[in-house]
Amino acid sequence: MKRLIVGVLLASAVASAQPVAVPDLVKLIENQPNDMDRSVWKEKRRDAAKKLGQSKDKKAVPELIKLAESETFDIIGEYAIEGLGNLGDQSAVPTLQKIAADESREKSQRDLAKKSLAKLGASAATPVTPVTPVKPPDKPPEKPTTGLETAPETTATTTTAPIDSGSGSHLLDTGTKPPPVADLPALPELPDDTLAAYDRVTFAGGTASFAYDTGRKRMDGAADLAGLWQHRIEREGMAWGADAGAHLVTGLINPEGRAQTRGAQLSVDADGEARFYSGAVYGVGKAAAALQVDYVSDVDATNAMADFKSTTSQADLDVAIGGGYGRVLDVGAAIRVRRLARTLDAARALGKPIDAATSKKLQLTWWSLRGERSTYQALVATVAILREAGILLGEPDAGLSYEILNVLRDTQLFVRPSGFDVQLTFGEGYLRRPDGLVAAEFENGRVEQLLVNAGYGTQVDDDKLELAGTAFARYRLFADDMAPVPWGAGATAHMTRFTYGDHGDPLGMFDLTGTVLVSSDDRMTTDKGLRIEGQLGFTMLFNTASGLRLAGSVAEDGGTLFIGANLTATYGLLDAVFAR
Amino acid sequence: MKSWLGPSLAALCCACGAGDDTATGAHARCAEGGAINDCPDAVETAQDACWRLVDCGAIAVNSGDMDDNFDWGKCVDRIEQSNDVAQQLIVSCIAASSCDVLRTPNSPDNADPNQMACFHLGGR
Repeated sequence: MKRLIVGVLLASAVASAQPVAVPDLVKLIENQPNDMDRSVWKEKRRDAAKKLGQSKDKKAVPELIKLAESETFDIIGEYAIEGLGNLGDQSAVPTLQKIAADESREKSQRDLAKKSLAKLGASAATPVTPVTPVKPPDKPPEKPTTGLETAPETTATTTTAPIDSGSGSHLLDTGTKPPPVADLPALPELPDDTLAAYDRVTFAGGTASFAYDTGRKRMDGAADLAGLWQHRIEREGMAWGADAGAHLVTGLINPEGRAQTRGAQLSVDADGEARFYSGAVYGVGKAAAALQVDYVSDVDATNAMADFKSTTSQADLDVAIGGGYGRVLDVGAAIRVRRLARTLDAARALGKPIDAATSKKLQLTWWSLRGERSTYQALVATVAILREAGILLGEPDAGLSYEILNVLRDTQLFVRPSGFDVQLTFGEGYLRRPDGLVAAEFENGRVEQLLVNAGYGTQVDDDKLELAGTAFARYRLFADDMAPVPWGAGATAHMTRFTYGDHGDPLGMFDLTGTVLVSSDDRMTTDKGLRIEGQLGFTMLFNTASGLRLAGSVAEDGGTLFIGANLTATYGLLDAVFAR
Repeated sequence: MKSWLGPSLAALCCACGAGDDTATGAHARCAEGGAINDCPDAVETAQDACWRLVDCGAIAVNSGDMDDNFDWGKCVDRIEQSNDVAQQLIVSCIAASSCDVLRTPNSPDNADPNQMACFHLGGR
């Protein structure tokens, strides 16, 4: 038995005496092997740091100092601090003193630093003055060097966080306190239980032209202007939203002679919805109103009898009540936060996961800055918030700054639905239609109807693939005996693949859409309708609501086949979203 | 109402097949029932505008044997034969209109474009 114990002790002594390959361990700590998963590597480098601290090899000191200074949130930093005490090298004293005095550090790290300093026989207090100064130095005393410093210490207290354009080594220089977050815009106030919200303002100048030429002696002018405001907030117990829009089309065509056409069309509409939830089930009330005024004067070139002049107006007022299940949220802003975390993680600059409070602060900051034409303020504020929260390790270098900027400018995060929602409502409306222009068999006056609406959306594959769909059905109720009872139903499903470059540049998105529509007007002259349509497209977005789209489509409707392709440009501005 | 506006190029071809003398019903979600049934209006081209007329039950997809009737194909032809300003005005007008404004008393199987204000807005 004694022999066995002695044997075991000898074996363990031999094992502990075996030299640890410090260079190999340092290499493992600094470089992730290509064939190793990131989470596995993180665990391996922690083990490696622990072994360095136990190695009794002073060649490990520089690497441990580096880890102790830079790894402020991972336990690997604590292994390094502890290891520096074990190795007994006095060159670690200044670093350990700095950590012991740094109140931005975790208490456990400061305590470990004090223990290690005690092992080295040094005080935790940082020496303030030289022990035997002969004369005041001409310049501030240089701090002790280890040969590993990569950047001068900064004490940034400016209102803007400096974006270092230097090398990536600055990523690891976290010995300084993060700069305070100052000059942030006033954040919009959202209730604590807010799940998602958006606020969008879109102005569109579709066309605006004016021309006169002496060749034809003709004057032409046209304008098409539209504006839309949308606001919605989703809370745990309730949700409400409102939209309001206006559209003006006006034109003048005035050739030589009697002929002249002028006209204007103004349409204004608004709608709102309120939901009250009990779990996933909700009751809903909706209202919508619309007004349209048309004026056209079309004077014939020769025949006054053929002149056409018309001024019409129509108005709608609808309300609906009902119930439903679930909800679909726009989670684009939440995905932007996730992309930010992935970007930092890939650059080894993510100190800890982005928590809910920081996520909310980031999103509301972006919301406040949505009117800025430049992304500069958003970038500065984002870096400052992440630094203050201890999420971003060090100041971002040029490469990381560019990638963060790409995340902030990512236009492919505009309207990303997530969730499932289905609702059934009963609608009561009053429609005022122009006399004489619309046949009696069309809806006019009171209209009751049953409405079904459904929506679905999910974001998968690191938010690069979207699967979504909508469906509707309408059926008129309580129509007069001779009046038709129209109905219609439809569903659209789409799949969208978002593509990115190596550094997070949004390249565009491919989408595949399928649509089925069935309907009946319930009139003698019409038959049931069926349309099946498919579309494949590629969209490149320039900002949150502007882009270029190329699409091809195939449709079958009423026995007629249509094959088409089109290229479309879109303009928009000012939107802000939030999602928890 | 959406912000989809702007310059566009389009090619829509190969309309084939045969309908009968009966037009199909109005497909669009907003074709009946008023403003509570909101429709997205991504209308930028002559083809889009004429599809909106079909979806609203204002015109037929294909008039079949009734060659003189104003259907989808004749709608596209009429808009595209107009000059640029007139095209813009007609398309914009159809995009901004509600379905009920776009219909005429004989819609959809025998619609009369001369009773549609949007076509007059484009001149003659």
